[in-house]
Amino acid sequence: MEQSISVQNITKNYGSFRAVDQLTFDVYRGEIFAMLGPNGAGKSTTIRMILDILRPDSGKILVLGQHIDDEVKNRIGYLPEERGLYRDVKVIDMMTYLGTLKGMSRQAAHKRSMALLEQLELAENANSKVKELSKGMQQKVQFAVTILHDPELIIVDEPFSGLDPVNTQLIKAMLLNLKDQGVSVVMSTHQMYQVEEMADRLLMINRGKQALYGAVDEVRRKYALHAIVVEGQGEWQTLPGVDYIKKENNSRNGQILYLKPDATPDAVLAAIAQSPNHHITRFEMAIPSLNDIFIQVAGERFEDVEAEYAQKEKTNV
Amino acid sequence: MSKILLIARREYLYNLKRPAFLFAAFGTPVIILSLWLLVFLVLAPQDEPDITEFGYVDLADIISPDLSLPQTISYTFIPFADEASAMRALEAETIGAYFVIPPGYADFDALAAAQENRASLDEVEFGQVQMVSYGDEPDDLIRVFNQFLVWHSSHQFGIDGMVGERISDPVEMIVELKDTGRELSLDALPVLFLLPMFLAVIFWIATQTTSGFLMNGLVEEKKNRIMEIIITTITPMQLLMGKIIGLGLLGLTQMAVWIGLVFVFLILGPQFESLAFLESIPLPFDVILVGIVYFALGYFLSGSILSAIGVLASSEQQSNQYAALVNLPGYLIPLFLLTEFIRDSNSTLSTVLSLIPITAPVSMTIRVGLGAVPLWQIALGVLLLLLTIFVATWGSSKVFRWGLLLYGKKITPREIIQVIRGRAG
Repeated sequence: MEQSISVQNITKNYGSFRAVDQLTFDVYRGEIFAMLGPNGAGKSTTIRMILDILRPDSGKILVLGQHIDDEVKNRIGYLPEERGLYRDVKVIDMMTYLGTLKGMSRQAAHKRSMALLEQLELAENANSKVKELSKGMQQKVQFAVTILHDPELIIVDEPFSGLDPVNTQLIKAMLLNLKDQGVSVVMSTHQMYQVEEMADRLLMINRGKQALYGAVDEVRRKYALHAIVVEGQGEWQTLPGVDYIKKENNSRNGQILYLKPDATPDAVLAAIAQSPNHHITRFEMAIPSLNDIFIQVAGERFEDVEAEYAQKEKTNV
Repeated sequence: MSKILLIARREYLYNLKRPAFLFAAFGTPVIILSLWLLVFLVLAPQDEPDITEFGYVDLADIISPDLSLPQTISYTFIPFADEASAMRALEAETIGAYFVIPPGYADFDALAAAQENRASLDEVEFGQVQMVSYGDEPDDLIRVFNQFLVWHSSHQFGIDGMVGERISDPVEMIVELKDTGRELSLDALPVLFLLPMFLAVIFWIATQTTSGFLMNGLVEEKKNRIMEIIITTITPMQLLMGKIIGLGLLGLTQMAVWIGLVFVFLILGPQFESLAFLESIPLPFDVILVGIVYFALGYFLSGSILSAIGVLASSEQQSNQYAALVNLPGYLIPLFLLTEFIRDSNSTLSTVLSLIPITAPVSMTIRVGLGAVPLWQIALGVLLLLLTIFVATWGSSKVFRWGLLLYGKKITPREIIQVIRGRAG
């Protein structure tokens, strides 16, 4: 498969702190690739090295088949985690300017900006100054800037943070649509459910090192519990094959049914279907949370790593 | 290259429309010129007396009333028989002032006797002419009355008035500076070092404005975090060059406005009688040319240093202080040592100052104004400036690249040196 990004053995130190340690992975053309990890794990550093904002101390990075240069940069769209726009400028002027910097003609940049604003339901705000927009609108403008020049590769850092559910859905649909058009999307996030919904493959990083790398479906299979989640009515404990029951976290009525080693989810479903005393409104495989998988592969808790990082940031400043 | 131009274009157009720039570029010179014009055109005419007639009481019998006088004696002098009648005329404002020429004025025997005692004319205590007025007489009245007296005294001895004038004021000076071939009258000499001062002041204001924009722009882009988008689109070096060029052109625009207004002032000024002296001010174009080249290079030098500082500074205020710190020495050092340039514009100290890139713009412009500077020195100065600009830009772009992503961290000078030497970042 054609690679959009090929990262080989990159390492990056900040003084004595090793931010990225021997990381190797590929991003394929036309896939959504998720980078996961707690804050301070090295996701942003890795993205910055891919984009040539930072240089790795060792290792090699190829982007769109070559070492990054001006021409390649024009084919990448980047949404930084730290969002930023010129505040005192009209939305359409700023978009046009950034488009020309990406090698578009003024007319093309203007036309495409208007089309995107239309799509994002911001056409009316084209002539407003950026600082007059709400935070969510600014986020959408920022996303429009990212895909303005029809990039072949999009790198988005926490694309949904700060967006309301409606706009999250809008951006998500646009990203999936771009994927269908053959655009490669690299998405850095710490929201596991977004990864499950959208990503084809994932890379989990902890303390600069690779913790987990592979197709999302494989990972799900590998780390799926031998359990199912159900909602509905009935005495779940009485079903054949069920070992014990736990209430699902963060859910009103969900129950996790842990199965006996020889039982299968299909058999349990069949038993429910035949039982007049059981009714289900939800039936699915039990997927461990990000935390659970993280603890399994990293041997420590996600929150602990983030707290430690926040503490370190504080003493650094 | 085209990306550099895009950045330059954006920086130029964006900042051109800013009120801060419009005020600095147009407001300040217009205010200064208006104040000048106000002083010259509105206030000055009030001092101008309507009276062009003045009296004299000739007790020495030296004035011949029917002597024909040259036109340069522009006032009319009316004889009065005695002081009392002259006083009445003064009180009635028919004359603006009167002179009393005492009997001893033309006592040449007494003068000769005084000379025997080796007294100079200042020590002779008789025959002084007295002027009586309300203190509102025109400034040139005494000069004109002097001329009037010279013509009449000359006539007494049968000498032509013009000859008398030459005897009484023998030197009419035109200074020709042999080394530059520049010819000027003595009154214009101050122009030669006032002009570099003037250029220094407007360059100072222009660089302060534009380097302020440069640094504030960088601080703002860092604060807004748009920096990350920009530098994943272009290289830090392109951003740096684009900004310096765009804002440099902005500075030049400001200068062009100022210099243009001065030209307008010099050309239109002499139309008004009270500003007629402006016509005699010579404009040494060599000074202006060297000045513009040197100051433009000086701007690029400070621009490249300041952009590195701007990217490390965490607030607009902080960056403005740095801008002044970086720009000041280049102006202050030559101005403190101004006497050295006037004493000998080709001394070792003057020469060294005009070659050191930081002090070169002001120093070289002053030197070219004051004397001949060998062409090779002008060329060497430009070369050294270019070289320093190159090194500074190179070092800055490294610091720039590294500093772009530092948000609100404290930076030690040691770290900066490490970055320039390629050991960090």
